[in-house]
Amino acid sequence: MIKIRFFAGIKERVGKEEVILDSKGGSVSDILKALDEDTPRISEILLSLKTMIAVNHEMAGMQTLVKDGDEVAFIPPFSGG
Amino acid sequence: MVRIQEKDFSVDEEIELVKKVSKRIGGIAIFLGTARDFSKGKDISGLSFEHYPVMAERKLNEIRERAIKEFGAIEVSIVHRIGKIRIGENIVLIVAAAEHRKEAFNACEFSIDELKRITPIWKKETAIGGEEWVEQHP
Repeated sequence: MIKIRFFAGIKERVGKEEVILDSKGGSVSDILKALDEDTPRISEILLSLKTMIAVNHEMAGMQTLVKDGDEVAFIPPFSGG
Repeated sequence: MVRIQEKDFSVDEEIELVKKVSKRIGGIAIFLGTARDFSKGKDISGLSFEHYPVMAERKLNEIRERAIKEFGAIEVSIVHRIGKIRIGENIVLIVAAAEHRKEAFNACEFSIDELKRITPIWKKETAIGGEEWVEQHP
């Protein structure tokens, strides 16, 4: 199982905070494809925004490998401070 | 000494906490970020902040450790608020303490710049036309 999380403007666009994917893993790119099966066209929404990726709370990329039990977050550019 | 919290903080109390860390402290620089009522040509009536728990705290800890190791600070405290914040209220506080002012100023500037650059915290502005997430920072 892989936990997918969305934050801030991305959360509002996607319409949900998280998705639990029944997946053994793969690259973030593979995870996006699997997400589309759960929520149609979600990858299109994510790729149309200035989306960044974090895996297990560290910045990652589309080719980062994700394994069972990991957490993947899709996050917009930061604006704290 | 990093915290993310909904409630407001006392600048005086945060400075006192840092001063207690070491008697070698001879200079303290602070940055206090507050809620402004104007942004990109629009009147802003309120702000709210969201963060990515665990990752945001981890990044603030990394910033604190780097400010101490690389900029010669003795202690750095970082407090950021989340949730709804009214105009004029406190948002973020950096307290950077060092033996001398130069290290304190440098550590303080580094900490707020890095906070804005690498910490997963997001601001939403409320204006007359509605609410909008801010996706970049000056």
